[in-house]
Amino acid sequence: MTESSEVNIEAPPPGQPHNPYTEAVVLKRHNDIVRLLHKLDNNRCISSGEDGLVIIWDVKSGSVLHVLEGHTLPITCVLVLEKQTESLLLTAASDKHIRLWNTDTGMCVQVITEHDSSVKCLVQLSETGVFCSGGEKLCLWNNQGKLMYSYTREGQEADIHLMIKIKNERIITASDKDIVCYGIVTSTSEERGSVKEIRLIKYVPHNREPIRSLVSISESCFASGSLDGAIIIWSTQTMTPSRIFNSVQDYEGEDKLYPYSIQSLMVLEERFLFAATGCGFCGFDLHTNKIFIKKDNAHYSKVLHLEFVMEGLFLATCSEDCTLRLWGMPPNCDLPPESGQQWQMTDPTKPTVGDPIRSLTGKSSDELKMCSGQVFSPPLIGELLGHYGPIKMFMDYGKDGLFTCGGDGLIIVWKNAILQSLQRNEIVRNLFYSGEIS
Amino acid sequence: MYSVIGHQAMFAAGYERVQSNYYMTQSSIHSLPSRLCPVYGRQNSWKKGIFPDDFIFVGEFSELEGPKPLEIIPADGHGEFDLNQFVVRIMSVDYQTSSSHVFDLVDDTQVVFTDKKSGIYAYIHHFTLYDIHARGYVRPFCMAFVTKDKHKLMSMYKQMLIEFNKVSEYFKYSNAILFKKDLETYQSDLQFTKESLEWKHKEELYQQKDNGVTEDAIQFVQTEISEILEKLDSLEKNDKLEKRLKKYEKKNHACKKNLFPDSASLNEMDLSFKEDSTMKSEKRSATFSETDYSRLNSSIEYQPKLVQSLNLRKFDQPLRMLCELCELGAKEGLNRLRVIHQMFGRHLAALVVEDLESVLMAPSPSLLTIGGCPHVNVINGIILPKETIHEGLGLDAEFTVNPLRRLLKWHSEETLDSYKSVDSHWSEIVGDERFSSPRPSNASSLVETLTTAQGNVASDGIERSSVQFERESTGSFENITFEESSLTESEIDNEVNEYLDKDRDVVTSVRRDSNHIIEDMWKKKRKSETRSFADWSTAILPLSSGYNIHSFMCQNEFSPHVMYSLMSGRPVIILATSGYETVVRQMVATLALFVPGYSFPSQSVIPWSYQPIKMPDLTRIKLIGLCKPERRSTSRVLPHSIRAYVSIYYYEKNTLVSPCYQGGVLTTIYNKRRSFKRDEPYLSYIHCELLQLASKAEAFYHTFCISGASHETLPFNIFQMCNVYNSKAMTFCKNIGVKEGDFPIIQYLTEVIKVQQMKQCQLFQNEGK
Repeated sequence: MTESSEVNIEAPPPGQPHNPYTEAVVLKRHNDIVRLLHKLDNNRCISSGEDGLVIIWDVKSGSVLHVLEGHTLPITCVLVLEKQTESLLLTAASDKHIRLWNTDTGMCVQVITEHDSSVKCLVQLSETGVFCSGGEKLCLWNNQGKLMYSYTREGQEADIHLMIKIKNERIITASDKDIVCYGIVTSTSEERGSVKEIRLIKYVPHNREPIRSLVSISESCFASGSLDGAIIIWSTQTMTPSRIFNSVQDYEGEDKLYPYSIQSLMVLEERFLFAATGCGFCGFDLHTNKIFIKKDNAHYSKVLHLEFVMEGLFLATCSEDCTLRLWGMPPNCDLPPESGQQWQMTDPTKPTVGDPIRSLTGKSSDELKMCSGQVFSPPLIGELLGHYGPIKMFMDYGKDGLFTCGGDGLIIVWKNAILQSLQRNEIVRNLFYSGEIS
Repeated sequence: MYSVIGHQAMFAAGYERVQSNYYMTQSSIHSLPSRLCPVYGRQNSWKKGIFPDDFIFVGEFSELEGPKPLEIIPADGHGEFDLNQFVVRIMSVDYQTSSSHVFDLVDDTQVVFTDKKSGIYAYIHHFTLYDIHARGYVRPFCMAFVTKDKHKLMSMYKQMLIEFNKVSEYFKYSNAILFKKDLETYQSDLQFTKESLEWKHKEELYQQKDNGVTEDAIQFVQTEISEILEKLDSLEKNDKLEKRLKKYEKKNHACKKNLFPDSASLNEMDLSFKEDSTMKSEKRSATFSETDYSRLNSSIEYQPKLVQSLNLRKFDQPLRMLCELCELGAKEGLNRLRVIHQMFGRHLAALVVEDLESVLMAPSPSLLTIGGCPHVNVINGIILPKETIHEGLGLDAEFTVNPLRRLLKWHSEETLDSYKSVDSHWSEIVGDERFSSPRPSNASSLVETLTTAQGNVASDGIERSSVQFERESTGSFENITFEESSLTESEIDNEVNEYLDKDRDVVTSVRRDSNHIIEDMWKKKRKSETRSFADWSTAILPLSSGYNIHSFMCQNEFSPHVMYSLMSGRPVIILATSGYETVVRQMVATLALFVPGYSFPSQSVIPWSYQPIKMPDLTRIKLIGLCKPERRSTSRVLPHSIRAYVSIYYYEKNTLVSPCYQGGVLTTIYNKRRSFKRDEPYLSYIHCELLQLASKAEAFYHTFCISGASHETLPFNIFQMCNVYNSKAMTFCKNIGVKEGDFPIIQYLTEVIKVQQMKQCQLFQNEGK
């Protein structure tokens, strides 16, 4: 990419004084690329990768809670079933199996092989645990792993690779350049009682390039991002594009590297849409329909994922260039005054806790409406360097740390040394008073 | 559970970012490569003597040949010393008080032998074995620890007594079993002879020969033997010893082929083991001379024989050797003597300081070590006064003047003088209560203090934990092969450990004597690779940590910064092309002095490696010599992502890239280098300075970390919280005299302790699952 090698890529500030991640724990258990991280709850993290292993980690100690072994080929998708009596986890892999696990015991509850085709995505449909699997076919299952309905798609060659759920028991799927909306209908027949079926609602063919990301924004709309860089906001009601951002004419770039491609989309407060575009990222305000954040050359290589981390203090982006970078305004580090006085926030432009927009722009979301049209470029706060392969994904656990996984098969948990030291103090103190250390 | 622990690299020590890089190139020093610089080795502080070092020997007053030496440990340890004359002197004294002709069990006697003129001092332990072929059935033996340091002898007397007593127990116990067996066999022979005599009398065919074998004579001998047997029966049965001997025998039996004892007599014993037992009994005429080890089991059915002569003494045949008299006990005893020699053969200062440090030595997770040397134990306390080592091994390194003497409660000078004998310059101390009783009353008080000081350290629990640490360390990184695999090391050590392991049951036995603790300490030391400073500083060899430190400091201006990196937990990588391997290896060994934490010493310091460094390696490696490929780029072995977290010393360019040290302690250490000329005193000085740091870390640990002073609910964001914490911690450290620049060291040292403690508890929990 000659274009980006000419531009100047920001270097982290010397010493990175505002980078909170000052300690790292390296978790080496996977034998191949680790692609996916999922949050089971605030204390447990699930990683899965090309080696067919799914591992449940304890976030605080970094110890392995369970290794879910069974799949023989790379894991393609993982779904944590919510609101179930047991803690259930679904995994699908290239070996054409779906496995249902109990995450508390680490036991495999069910192996589903009926669909006999590769599954690329999973989505939970209802609180009863009915879920849908997408790939070559579209199948409906109950939470016991029993096949309820199998829908064979016609006239579409590519497998479904993305799937989100929208209102009214509808799902949006993406396969290559096509977006299709399906509905789950309950039909009642005399012989079989009430049966759930999948019906095609609308077929929207031929976006310019393959869809790379789908994200639900609100009840009324969702967004798609594609290889050519186009971000389309769709109405869930009509299944028509309501807005198109970032439409680039000459999108292929040199050597067909697609420098504007959308790798990831993220939504905040149903209002702000963030996208990883090429080597950079941008943010759109859906109320004003304006772009308000833009950083074209955030990384040396494509940004793969972006998310707010550390209680909203930073926007983190991870990239194929093996780094994770933190963006935002320098946070408020001022010391509270001497004890006895109520500490007042001295500088309202500096973010404290839980205001991601202020972290990025120095303004609250309300203030942002006033300066419509202004495009912010948040400074680089720090860089996490440690992986020697692309960082595929990261998962934030606030003050307990940040999980990153990558092409090198490693998971690194980035932590704050002082917080960890305090935590260790606590543990050791308890051990000391219980007489467990000598 | 093991696999679960094995695959997580648990705690990475704080990867601090480089605040400001420190670059330094040295062109000013007109230094020769260090391999060409003369190394000032340890001078032999002994005046040229007739024997080089302390040695142990075993001697016998043979009724056929007179006093003679049997075993010398080490084999040629006596040098030009006339051992024969010495044996004559020490064995010619009839130390046995009992003069009656009735058989009696003889207690051991201990004697301190001093020859002021030639400066030879010895601890002599007399003991008696029983032999059916010997005069009065007794064979007098002695063991002696010969040294030129009378202070050592006096201050270590109690420990020696206990240790030697133990050896003699081994000898005597297994000898008693054999003796009893011999007597019983003889008894049955006599009975058989008597019966056949009676029968022959009846037949009147028996022509009485002139050998005195008459019924009356037989009757007399028989009563005598039953009396002896009665006395032997009164001997306490020692289950522990028996169990151990049986265990030993079993092991011996299993790996007979692999055993290569180093002394000649033991070889003979082994040969006799190899003979078929049935063959042997045929070969030998004397029924008592069976040396089969299975005698302990007494599984062979014995056929009584006619007694030809009532006089069992045979002057035409040599008497049985020590190994034949004691069988397995001899082997065990001699092994133990070797351990004793290793222990007491060291310098007195080492022994005394080690005694003081014994509380610290046990590798409990609360122990902080720097460079493999224990400094403080945050739970069991610090006990070393600064002056002790400083004076003992420090600035005044002339060992001939011994400032430690005043520390010793024993005023050895007077004691020795008062027992000076009149008629010769050889003087002996005999009959002193404290000396001659096998278990002196003084010793018991010493035992008590040591036991209580040791506290729960000697309990089984800790024992287990140290083993666990080892297992984990080899398990978790098995997929990475370094040139020096820790596995092979442990294999080599296995032999020693296995031998030492057998003490385990003794350690927890009811009689918790100080010798057990000493042994225990010794064993633990071997396992955990921690060595007491005293021990290690008296034997600094090439490739041991800290060797050559003086010239390193003098040649490298950046020394404080390297030390700082190591002491604050930042890995240090020494990069050089393969031609400099030897130099780098030595450099790594030298700098290992500053690596805190003892958990994985063999893995945190790697002298030389060709393998590229990866991120997981940083969780354990603290110091490594890395081979730089000559043609290809350095980033192959040292990836870009690693460089942010390590300090790198480019050997060929003589350039260091590391955080800049701004504290005081390490600079002071560095600046003092000109005041010293050799390694040892300088090392003692460094040790003292580090000890101060360690004790401040201990204060920080207790007062700040685990007291809860560090904890306060802070409703602010993480940065405000960190700032509050830092300013509080800094204030604390300032108040205990730690400079701001030294704070990261204190912080890291306490983290090391905390992580050690947590790991131990985690292991216990996992074990419990």
